[in-house]
Amino acid sequence: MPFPEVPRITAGFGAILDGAADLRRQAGNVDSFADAAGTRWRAIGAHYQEPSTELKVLHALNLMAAPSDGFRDAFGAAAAALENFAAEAGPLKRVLDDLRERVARFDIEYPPPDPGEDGEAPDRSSVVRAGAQQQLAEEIRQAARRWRDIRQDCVQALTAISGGTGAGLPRPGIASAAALPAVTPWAQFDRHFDDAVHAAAESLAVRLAGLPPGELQDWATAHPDAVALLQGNRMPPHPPGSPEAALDAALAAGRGGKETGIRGIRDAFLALPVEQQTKFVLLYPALLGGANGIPFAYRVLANRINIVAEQQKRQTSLDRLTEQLSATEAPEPNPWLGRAAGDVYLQQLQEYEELKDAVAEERAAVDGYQWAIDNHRQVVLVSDEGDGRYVEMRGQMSAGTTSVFTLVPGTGASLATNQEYGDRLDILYDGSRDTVGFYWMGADLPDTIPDNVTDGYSRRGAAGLSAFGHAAELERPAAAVTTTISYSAGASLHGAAEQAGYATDNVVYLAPAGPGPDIHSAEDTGNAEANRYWIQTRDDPIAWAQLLGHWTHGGSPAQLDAVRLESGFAVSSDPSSGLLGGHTDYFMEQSTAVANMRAVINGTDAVAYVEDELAVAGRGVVSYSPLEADPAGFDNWKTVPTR
Amino acid sequence: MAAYSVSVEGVRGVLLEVAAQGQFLVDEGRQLAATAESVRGSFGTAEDVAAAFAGFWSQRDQVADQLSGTMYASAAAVGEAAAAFAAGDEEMAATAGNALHTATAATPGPVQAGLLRFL
Repeated sequence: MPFPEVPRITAGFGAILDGAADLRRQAGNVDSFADAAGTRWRAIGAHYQEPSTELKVLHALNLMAAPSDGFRDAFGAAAAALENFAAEAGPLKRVLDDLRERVARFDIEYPPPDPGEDGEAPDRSSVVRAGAQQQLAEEIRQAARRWRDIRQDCVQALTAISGGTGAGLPRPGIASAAALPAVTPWAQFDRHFDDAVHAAAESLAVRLAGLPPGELQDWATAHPDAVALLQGNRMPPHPPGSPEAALDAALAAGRGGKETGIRGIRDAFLALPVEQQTKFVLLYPALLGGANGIPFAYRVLANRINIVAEQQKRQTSLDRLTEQLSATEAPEPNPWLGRAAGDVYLQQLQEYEELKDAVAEERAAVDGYQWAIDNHRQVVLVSDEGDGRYVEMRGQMSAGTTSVFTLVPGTGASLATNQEYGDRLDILYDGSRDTVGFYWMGADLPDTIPDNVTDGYSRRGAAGLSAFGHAAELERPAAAVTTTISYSAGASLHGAAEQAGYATDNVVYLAPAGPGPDIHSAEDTGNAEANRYWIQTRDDPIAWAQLLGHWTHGGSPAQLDAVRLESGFAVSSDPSSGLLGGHTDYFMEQSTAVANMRAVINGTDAVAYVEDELAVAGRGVVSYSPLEADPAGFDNWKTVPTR
Repeated sequence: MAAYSVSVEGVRGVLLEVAAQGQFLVDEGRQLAATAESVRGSFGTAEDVAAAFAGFWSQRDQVADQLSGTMYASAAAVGEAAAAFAAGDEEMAATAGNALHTATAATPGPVQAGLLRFL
């Protein structure tokens, strides 16, 4: 007797259940990432404030929220439908398998009756078999209906899900949303952003290149966003063989600060079309503003941008530290508590004082930059490396330049002393068209004289001064006379730079820590031909450092045959103005010391140091300075030709 | 141009964080597609269910890319607009703004007078 066909269920319920769980989780993750993107996006409000567009920008990702929620929910509903399907069809599969087994065994369990004679009454077993057969057939029909219902329920559940189709989102590839890329190239997003910045920077640089030179600093001050844009601009790859690619390669090769590398940078820059040179330094100020080999006049342009950007960074840092300080209570000692509490107090006090110092240091740096910005100083290097770097120039290099001098600062020089040293540079610079002066703080200097107990500052700073010297040498006329005035700790740094190849025609040691590490003769400098001079007051405490530090900062300038020049009076022509003294009087504008430094720079006669004399006193002989003994009456001045 | 303050580096920082989420989203969308493909092949004789699931999936198989694409287009346009505004280039800002407007055409965002000057 035939039975209805027993349906077969071959679905992989394990795979369906695992898949349902994965669909729910993965769609949930998609929604979470979309939400996280939206959350992070909202921070853009702090950085993008432009009245006509900022609200649109701020809400740009709002349209994603509902579609991504709907997406998550749709897959949640689908997963539930699949789970119901598996939950109901799984047991039914076992039922169907059982029914199929029973069909297979039916004839064994209920053997068919032997064919009897016609008209013979059915025996009892036939009746039982018929009943069982009917029963089994009915169970099969019920199970089949159940299988159909389970499937239909699932089909209905899946087709009833209407959300999560991305309605409201732009679709890739259709005209109304041409901006959407077919495949989202997130991996290239950074590059895309750089390209956008570069395009904007280029348009900006073109416009800035047309500004009158004197207006660039004021423009930079008034446009901090644009300054940050230019400073953050990165040079994109240029076609091989192009002048830009050559400059890029030269910059990489010249990083070592060697003369050949710096010459390569200069040659590559000058190979750019002339009309491109200004635009180029404005387009890549961070890259070119401090690069030795780029002509100084162009570095000045780049640093009109850089100095404003550096000041902004320092101001941001100052604001953060000031906020931190104002939120910190000054620790108070409590004598009633024990030693452990006292240790905590001392620790807190130290941290509090360090925070105050950091605030003061940042404020001084901001002020140092502000002074340079306000006074349109010609800066040829500015950076936040180390304690900060700052090199400035007076005058302009030209074919008519006959004298170039460089002031290397000493102990205590920092961004905070930009004005102080800028004033000193101004005092030394006579304003003539044929002189160019530099103030070079291209390295960290010790904060105090005891900090300079090792030669570390000198050796670390040497390469920077040496590289700067190569750049200056390439740009000045060969006949120009060069002078380095190195002050205090800067003298030792200068000596280390000489050993690294830095060379000028004249050297003025101004109250030097020493002529440089391991330098005890002119030959030790590697620049034996230089004319060396030495200025130092009679009571400058640097004398103690010279005595104590001779093994770290070299010997006495006298060992290098340096001609000592007189530090003299505060007003060179007026003995009543008083003799210069100590370590910081040297740059008084009308002083004998300044007159002597100017004399070396300009190649005129200088005033020789008034040597001590011996006198008999009682039963002994004492040394004394005739100038100190009778400033007003002293008339035995001697002069020294400096060229 | 009205007074503005646009920090390109600040915008860059935000957008790169968004980009990271966008990449996660794309990756997760790809895994979801693989899962859907696997599930679709698991129904055996329940072909009507398989067809229904395939229909469900086919209506949604682009959504992760659409979400990611929307983010990308918005981020790219805002990046360009930020750079252009920082550079004070109205023409470039307007171009970038048009791209953002296209990318977010359905944005229900707040209505403000003059809002659509560039976008």
